[in-house]
Amino acid sequence: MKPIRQLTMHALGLAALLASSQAFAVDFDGYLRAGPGATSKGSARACYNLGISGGHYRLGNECDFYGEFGLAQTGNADGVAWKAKVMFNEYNPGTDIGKSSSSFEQMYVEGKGFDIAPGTNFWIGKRFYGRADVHILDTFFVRMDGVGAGADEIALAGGKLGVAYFSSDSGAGFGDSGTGTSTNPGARVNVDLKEVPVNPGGTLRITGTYTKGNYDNALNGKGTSGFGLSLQHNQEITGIGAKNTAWVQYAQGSAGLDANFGTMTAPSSVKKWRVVESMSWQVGPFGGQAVALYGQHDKDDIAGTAKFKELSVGGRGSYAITNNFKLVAEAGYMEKKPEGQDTQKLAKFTFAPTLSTGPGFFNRPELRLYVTTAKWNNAANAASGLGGLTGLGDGKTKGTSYGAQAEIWF
Amino acid sequence: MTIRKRRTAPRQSRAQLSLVGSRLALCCAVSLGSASAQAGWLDGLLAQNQSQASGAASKQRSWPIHEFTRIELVPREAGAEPNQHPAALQPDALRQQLAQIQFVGRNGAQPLFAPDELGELVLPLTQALERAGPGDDVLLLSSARRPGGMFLSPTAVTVRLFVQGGQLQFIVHDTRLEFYDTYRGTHAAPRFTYGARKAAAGGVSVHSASATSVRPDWLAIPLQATAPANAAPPAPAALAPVPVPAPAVTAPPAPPPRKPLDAAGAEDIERRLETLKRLRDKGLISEDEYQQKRKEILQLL
Repeated sequence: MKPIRQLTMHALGLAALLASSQAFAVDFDGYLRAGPGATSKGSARACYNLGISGGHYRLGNECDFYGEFGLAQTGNADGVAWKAKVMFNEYNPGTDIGKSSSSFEQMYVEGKGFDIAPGTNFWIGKRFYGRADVHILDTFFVRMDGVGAGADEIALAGGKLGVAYFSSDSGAGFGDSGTGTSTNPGARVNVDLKEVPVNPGGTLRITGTYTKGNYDNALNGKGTSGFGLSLQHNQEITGIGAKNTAWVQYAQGSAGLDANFGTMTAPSSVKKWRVVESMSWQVGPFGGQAVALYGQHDKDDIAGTAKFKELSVGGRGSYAITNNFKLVAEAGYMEKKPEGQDTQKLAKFTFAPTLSTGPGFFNRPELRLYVTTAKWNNAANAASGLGGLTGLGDGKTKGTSYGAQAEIWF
Repeated sequence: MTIRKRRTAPRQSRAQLSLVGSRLALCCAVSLGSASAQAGWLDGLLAQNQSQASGAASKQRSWPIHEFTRIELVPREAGAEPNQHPAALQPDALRQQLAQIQFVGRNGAQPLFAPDELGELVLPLTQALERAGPGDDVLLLSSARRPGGMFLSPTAVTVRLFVQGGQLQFIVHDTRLEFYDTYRGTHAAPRFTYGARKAAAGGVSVHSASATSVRPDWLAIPLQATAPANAAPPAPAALAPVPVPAPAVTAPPAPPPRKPLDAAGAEDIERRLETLKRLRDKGLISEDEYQQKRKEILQLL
């Protein structure tokens, strides 16, 4: 049997040939970021994160390499529009060129136009689904990714309704913490009504989540049920080329705030909520994105986590000096306040002269040099264990990292 | 829980990945041996053919080609005269007509569509016009990585089409809409706007040697050059095309004399010149680029 990496690279090579041919029959999309960085002599590159649900501020603060490469084709047969998609990725949690891992992130087929329900899109497979985020933060606020089946694009209330079922063999679901050990399976149902016009230039999205952990064993405990509700409002602000997105999200039990699985052993008494406000804009050469988040998570006796409140405020701005050269800066502040403990605090600032193909905030690719400086308190160090917030274990409460990074989506 | 953005899925078993990888490689290999503009490497897996059409297809109102390339039938604009639909057009002749359409962009006059792009658009476009009713307009959204390169962000062309006055009316709203970066950065579905009968799209200037310019953004393409040679279209009598000998159908008609520039066209050029000057004054383009673009715009007069 050929190694996984070898097969993946063969597929990528063939994809490149296909996508660059005259006949553009295959859609090719993806994303990658990579680049060297350093913090101090004799140590690994450090990144600065407090471990709250809002993720961390990304610019000059990503210690990993990541790329994902998707292939899709759309076809038509007797009025049925088909699409099949695969996507594979390459990930390395550090700066080194070795130790990276590959995986197929998406493999699914969908079709619309079946005579029994011509306006409904049916799909089955493993996929990214319904994602919504704030680009400058390293998290998704809605992320129904998983292995499942569903129907969507059903016209309702001026918007589109989707219903999907997902199952997971590892209670962590589809994502970072999955172990693939099949010891704590779960099931999830999402109902997602989106693009409902509610005001001029504004739409509402309502996402409901029901989860159930289907296991009970000595090693992993007992799976629980959960419920979540996410309200998302999108607003176009004409004149300044701005988009505003706000979320109000609630979850309890084994449901996550992002409409995915949460902690699969959490009882229904574990409730959490957050409010998020974000805006992106482009006014002439000045573009940017800002975000504010506040939330609360109840105590979870099973998982051994205390009740805590979280706060995050930050933004990234870019100013185009020329068509291809931007000055980019990002500032972020986070707090986490566990009940009965000191408040953990972290502030970071990054400055990044950047080359790009255009002057816009979202123009990619970007080739950036960066310097990041961060400051945090002893409570943040203590909460992160022996290695402290940076993992370097030097007991410091401030640090500076520098490096170069390329980022592109295509 | 913090989730690493764009981080990978749980690891799958090696057997699963090997199977998928092998299928992918096989499909790619088959496609490389028999590539065409219409058939791709998943056709074998799906056992589908894009040109198949019967039964439910007669009710088809959307022809998705890629994620951001599609042709749709939509209700015609409010207050507009009924269209002369359905209309039967000859795909090869339509392709030749569309290939002649040019627009004035950042790099001067250039074709609106690439040849391979047209290869995918023409057949579904003729199908849409055949299935359209008098109350339908046809919307065309075509995205491609221009001028080429698999890592470049695609740009979009948006057009409204309908048959009126024995001509294929072609109203452009965007010639190279840069939507993709914002879409990827925000995950918000892009909204596309199409040409309109009543309002001209600002800053758009299209022309064709074989079509009449109605407005800077609006061309009227003669149907004689696009209708089948020996098959009357299933359309009202007014739409009946002038029979054309077979060889002449595929040959583009001789270019008509240039139409005098109307007031709207002159205003458009004036606006372009002002924009160009502003870009130079801000230092966003060089003096050489300014002079070159200025010359190209003035040639439209």
